[in-house]
Amino acid sequence: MKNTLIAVAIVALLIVGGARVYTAGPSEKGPIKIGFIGPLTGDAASFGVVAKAGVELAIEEINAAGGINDRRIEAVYEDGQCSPTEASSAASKLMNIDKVTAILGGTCSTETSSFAPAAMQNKTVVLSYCSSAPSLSNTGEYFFRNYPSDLLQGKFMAEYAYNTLGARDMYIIYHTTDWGTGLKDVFSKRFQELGGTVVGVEGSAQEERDYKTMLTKAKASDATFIYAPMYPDGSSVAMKQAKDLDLKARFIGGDTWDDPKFQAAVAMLGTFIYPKLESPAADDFTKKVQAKTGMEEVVFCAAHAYDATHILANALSEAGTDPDKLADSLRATKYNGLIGHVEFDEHGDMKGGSYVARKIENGKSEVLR
Amino acid sequence: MDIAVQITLNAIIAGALYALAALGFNLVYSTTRFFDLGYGAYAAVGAYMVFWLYKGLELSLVPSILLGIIAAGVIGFLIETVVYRPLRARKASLTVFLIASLGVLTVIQAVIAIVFSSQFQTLSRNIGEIQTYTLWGGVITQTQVLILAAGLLIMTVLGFTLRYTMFGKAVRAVADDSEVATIVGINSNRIIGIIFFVSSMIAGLAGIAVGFDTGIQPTMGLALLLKGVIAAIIGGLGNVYGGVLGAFLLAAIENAGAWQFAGEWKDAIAFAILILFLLYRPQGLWPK
Amino acid sequence: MEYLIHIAILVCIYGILGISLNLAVGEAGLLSVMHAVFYGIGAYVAALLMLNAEVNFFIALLLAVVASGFVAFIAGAIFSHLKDVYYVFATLGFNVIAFSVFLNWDDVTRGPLGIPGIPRPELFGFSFFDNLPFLILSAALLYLVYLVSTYITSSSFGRVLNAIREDEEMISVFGYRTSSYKLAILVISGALAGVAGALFASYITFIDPSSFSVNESIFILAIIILGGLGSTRGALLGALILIALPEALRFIGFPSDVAAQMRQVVYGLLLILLMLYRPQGMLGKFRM
Repeated sequence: MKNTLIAVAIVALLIVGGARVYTAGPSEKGPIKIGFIGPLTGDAASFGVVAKAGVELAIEEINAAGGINDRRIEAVYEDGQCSPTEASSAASKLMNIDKVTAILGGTCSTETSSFAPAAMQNKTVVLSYCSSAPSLSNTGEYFFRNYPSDLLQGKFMAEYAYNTLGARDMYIIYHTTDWGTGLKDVFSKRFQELGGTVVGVEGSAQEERDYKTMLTKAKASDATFIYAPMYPDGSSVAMKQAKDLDLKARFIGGDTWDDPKFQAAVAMLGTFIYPKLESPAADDFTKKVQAKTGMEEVVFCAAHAYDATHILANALSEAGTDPDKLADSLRATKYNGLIGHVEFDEHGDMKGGSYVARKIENGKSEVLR
Repeated sequence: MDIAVQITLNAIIAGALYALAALGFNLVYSTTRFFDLGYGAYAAVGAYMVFWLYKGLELSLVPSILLGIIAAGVIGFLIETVVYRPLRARKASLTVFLIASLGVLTVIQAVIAIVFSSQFQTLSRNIGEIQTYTLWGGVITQTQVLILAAGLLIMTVLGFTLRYTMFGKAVRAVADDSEVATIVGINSNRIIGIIFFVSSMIAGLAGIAVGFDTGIQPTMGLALLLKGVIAAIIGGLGNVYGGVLGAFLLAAIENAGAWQFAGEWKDAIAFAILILFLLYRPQGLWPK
Repeated sequence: MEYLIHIAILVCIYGILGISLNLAVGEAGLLSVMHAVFYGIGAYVAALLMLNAEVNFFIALLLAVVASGFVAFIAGAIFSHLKDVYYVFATLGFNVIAFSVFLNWDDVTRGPLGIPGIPRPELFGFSFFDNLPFLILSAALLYLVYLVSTYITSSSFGRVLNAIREDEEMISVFGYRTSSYKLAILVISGALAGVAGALFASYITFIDPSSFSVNESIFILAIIILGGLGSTRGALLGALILIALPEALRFIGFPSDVAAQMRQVVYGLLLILLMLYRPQGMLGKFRM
């Protein structure tokens, strides 16, 4: 019994003590606080860590330029681990303890789906820089995302494959996450609507490293093209195994392939096509993120997170921290950034973005006309 | 190309990796009757050691691999001395060992992630230049052939040592009953320490093999370990040769399953096989 | 304050999970690594009923409990005669298979996209939409589960379970059909986990397969090992510590990129130290 009491007391003290320290609410002076949620550890850590770097870079720039109406902007970074429980605890802390004005996040749609409803209730603006699940469109009036729903990308690739590449038969190999599954569904539907045939579909876990049998099946089907919405690590392994198997089909992928590490890894393995939101070149940004994180990998969320921070900062300087005014200001956004032109529709979904196809050859990526 | 041949080759390649995992695992199990989940961590240690030496410090291949294997062995030995020996001294139950080993796996994986980041990395310095061979219409890479050769070599050496040498006899005596063995004059603790050292080295080799074949990640150990355990159980726990055969059988069924059904169910198939064996033939195909 | 309410709700949910798992593991000695399956079934059944059939939360809760209990019955019927470590691996395999089903049976579970928009409970016009009423509801359900557990542990049924844990062969010699007892407690344990599942689904309003993996089962096991096997209060204490402590760690200035890894290190070390120095956990009666 004594042990119990001691343990409970210690834990309670830690929490209450922690809470006490952070009870300062949003004030009229002092820095503007925004929250960040993303997977900083766990399997998806590379996405969260580069996104955090993107946010940090943007914040440095904003503060160096005078901040927001002479107030500094500060971010509190919380780990969502791509897990509903963690993300919802992270959001609860950010909203109730740190009293942030807005939350940038999450990376994974699972994170965003878990905390966004609570944020809507609390009237905290949420701007997700990387969540693609179509169901998020119905979240609420304080929800925005500068990453298009899967519906856009899947449709684009299907149309590109059918119309531009002349593909009529397609094999699909995908990662069974919300992003991969969403793309597989949308692509498959659109490709078949256009008249193409989906010859086979194989899914695997994101962590899978043995794609040989799936690729063998693809090879056996004699499909000319393979659509592979997969994450970079699995993709590099799969492409290598495909080469080993002498697989002749051409691979087209998802926007995750816009990653220098992946592009370097497949340098000798052939030509690959993937979609990216039309935007100005961003080599400089990539180098800055690599410097900040110490990793070669710069996955696409970094640029989106960077833009999202700027978009949010602009809205804050125009409308202040009142949630309704902030939301209205965000809805009226017209911004041109690293990921191109951004506007939001009435659901908070990104509109105005258009995809272009890019090809990877010899370790470099360039736009295909 | 002949699909059946390629699928068979795929199974052989995967089986070779599982076999390496099963070999070391069986070694520990046969002497101590205990499932060491930390085994997965020693594999990661070996792989990351090579990563640091070969890719980081740019040492040459063979010394890097040797040092990697030794590092894994040392870690395994240390864990045995510091964590498991005290538990054995007070005759802790298998469950206690299992949970303690879970703790070991968790800590080592997390430390690796802190030092090296959770990023996926490859060990080979140049992708795309790996030699491949074509066999009866199917393809296999040089790395994979080496892994296969290593697995078979270790199996032979281990089997020989355990059966025909004095050391091997001492090991089997400890396996039967370590108390009696001590009474007879065998230093059980030392034997077990050596066993852990050797099996952890094999674990390290398995990790390095996976690293060269696909890549490394701090959490790579658990998946490898589980496959090794399933292979060992199918083959007959404690039987060195059985584990290797079990490994190939597991890989064969997995790949055949992925061929017939969709790839999404691969893990489920592997564990379904395990459950079937546990229910109907827990002693495995070749019981000791 | 809201933050504390949030944590308290999570503690209630994991408290229910811990108490229910303790009934199987702590009281009866059935070291199961599949509790997340029943948690998940409860969550999915409740979510789907509330969304698709517009069923009231409380009815969905009951049906979820029945569903988890039923799946537990199947698992128990198949596995409960397995011994020791074989049982552990069979349950682990079951969890992997169930997870694959949650992930790949798209038509029902929507796979990795998960099920969003799950409503909060409502009863006769009173809505539990706000967190404070929800906390009260969770605490009430926790208390109910606590009562059920203490009733079982202090009854003669509970004593038979303890006897099975200590020496199953001996008690069966006395004429007790141990398989029926084991099956019964597994069903109860699984059914109660379903309560937690329904609560979780309604609280976060979004569920996806990642919350119901083997890692989750291991986490729940860690809760009761820490709190002490064989102690209902221990399970609660374990839940409190393992939920609240990592949250408290958010406030210590660990550089955020190593915070969760540090958490894993602490967690792993905790398991090792517990096994070395206090295997019965903080309040446990059962020394493993």
